[in-house]
Amino acid sequence: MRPSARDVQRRLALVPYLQSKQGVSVDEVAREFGVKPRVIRKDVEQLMMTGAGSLGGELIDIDLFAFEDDDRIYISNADFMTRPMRINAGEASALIVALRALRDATSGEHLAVVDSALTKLHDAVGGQATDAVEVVLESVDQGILATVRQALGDRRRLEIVYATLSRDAITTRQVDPIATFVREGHEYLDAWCHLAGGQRYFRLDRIESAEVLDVPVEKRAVPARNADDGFFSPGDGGLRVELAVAPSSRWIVEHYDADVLDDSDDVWTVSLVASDEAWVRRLALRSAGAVRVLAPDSARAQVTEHARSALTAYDGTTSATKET
Amino acid sequence: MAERKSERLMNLIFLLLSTRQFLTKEQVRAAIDDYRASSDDAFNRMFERDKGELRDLGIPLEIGSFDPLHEDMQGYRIPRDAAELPELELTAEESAVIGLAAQVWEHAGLAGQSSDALIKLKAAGVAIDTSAVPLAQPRITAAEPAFDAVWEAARARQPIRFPYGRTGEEPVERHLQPWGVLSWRGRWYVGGHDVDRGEPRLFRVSRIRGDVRTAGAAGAYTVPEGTSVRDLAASFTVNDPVGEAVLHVRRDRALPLRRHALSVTPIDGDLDEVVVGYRSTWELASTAASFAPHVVVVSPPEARALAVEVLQSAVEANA
Repeated sequence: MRPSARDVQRRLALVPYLQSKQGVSVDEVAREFGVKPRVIRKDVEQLMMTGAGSLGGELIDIDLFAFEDDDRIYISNADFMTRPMRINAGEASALIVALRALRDATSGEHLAVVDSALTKLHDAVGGQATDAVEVVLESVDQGILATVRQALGDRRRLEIVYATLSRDAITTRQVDPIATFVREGHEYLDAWCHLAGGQRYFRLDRIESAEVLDVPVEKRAVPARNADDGFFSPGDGGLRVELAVAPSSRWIVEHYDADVLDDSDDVWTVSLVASDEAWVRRLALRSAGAVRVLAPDSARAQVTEHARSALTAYDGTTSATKET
Repeated sequence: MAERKSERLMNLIFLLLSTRQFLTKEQVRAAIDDYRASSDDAFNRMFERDKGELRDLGIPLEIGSFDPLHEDMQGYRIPRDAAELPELELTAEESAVIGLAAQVWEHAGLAGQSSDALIKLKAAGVAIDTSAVPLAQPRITAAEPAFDAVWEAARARQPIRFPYGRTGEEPVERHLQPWGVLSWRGRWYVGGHDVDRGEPRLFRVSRIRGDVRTAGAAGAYTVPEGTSVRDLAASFTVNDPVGEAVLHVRRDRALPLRRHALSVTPIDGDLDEVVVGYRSTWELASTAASFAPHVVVVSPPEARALAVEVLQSAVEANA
């Protein structure tokens, strides 16, 4: 929707809003409507120029003394519009899809609340077509989700058994939960990790088990981070790697949002941010020679070392190697 | 749209809301300054455009006869009962949930539409305190350039065509009757009837490599009864296992494989026999190779042979 159409929408909503909140301050309206106070002042000035007709007695009336001296709004002569306009099809789709995403990320007692909100909203928009959009999140063990939520709600410490996928290792750690959020289809726990001694994100579908401990979370000045701020960016433990990618593995470029450095040949040179060397090693191992690690050298050495070690196991016996 | 146009639109809406009777075009013209000051032609054009704006805002315009004795005299009004938001009795928790939902979109257009909806609820007297319910905060992003166009086409039931292909391939023009868009594992897909192939298909929105153009009128087709994009996605992604494989896996390793294991039997203190279902020999062999040296494929023999090949190739490529 064009910005100007949004102005009209907001001003239309202001008419019933102001009538139900006579004497409200400009600042409060600005907060509620998510705009700057000067935007609301301009809106009110324009409302004074409009009404059921263009004759003096037909225009919307604003108490100018209260508005100019005290920044408060008293509105009259606007009883032709005491309710906001209906939520339109576009707005309904956006909000209902968002509610469904919220529902997918919810469990337990709150599920009923999301469902009843969805039903009421559906009724209010008058059954406009909203089935055109679906958002499906990865499924997370509902028991673990409930435990994490309980710890968050009770502000208690959690003990989790966590599988680091790239390192293929299991660790048991105690964490003080801060918040949960969903990003790129995965649900995460943001927490202070006592094992790492810092704030970490944990993917909920990689938590093998979770237990609420009888320990309150430590008071610590760590704000819930906004996941937009450098989430998965290099420097946050990420590793920039360079790969030579044969045609059969070009899906990597799209899948991992890699930068193509050179595509003049069949084998492309690409660069991407990996979580660590173990991740790159696994990618190269599974690619049947279609991926050569160009940098870092240590990651390339890991590929050959691990592959050779596995080949020995296949050669000699039918059993996997033991780590030496 | 200048302030003047926004003022004119609001006056038009207020005028048509406040009347019970249908107002003729001339009555409407007489009541609005801009219309009155314009020539006949300019007024006609302006009025048509403004009616379009009302439609875009989702405000219903009723056209009818203002005089039962002269039915050819058409007039306009906005029916209040259809135009106004009906009463919603929301609990504090339900309004909190809706408030949280309005923060879900990380996409300029849809975030704007969610907050416009929220403002209408606030204008209806709904108090929104999002701290009333502690919920996870899903975020939906949609950075693909073609996203807006496929979203609108799916909502409008409008056929589209677009250049489509993977990175590194020559794009091919495809024709689609979109049924819906779907975010799955963080990626956007548009699903519907593939006109070129005559069957349902999913397209990844990020692989649309140029402008999405309309290829027919809005509402030109109907979505078959009982179809959903979610089901469509499921039919493309879920393959039944073709068989069972026996693996030797080091203790506490290859966790993703273990998570889907049919059985895990300890062999000795350090090694387990893990049985998994697999969908293709290639997928099994390459997954096993990725966990080298902690996983060895015991059977089936063709997967074992392929795993050895995959590992040998990885050594050659990275030596």
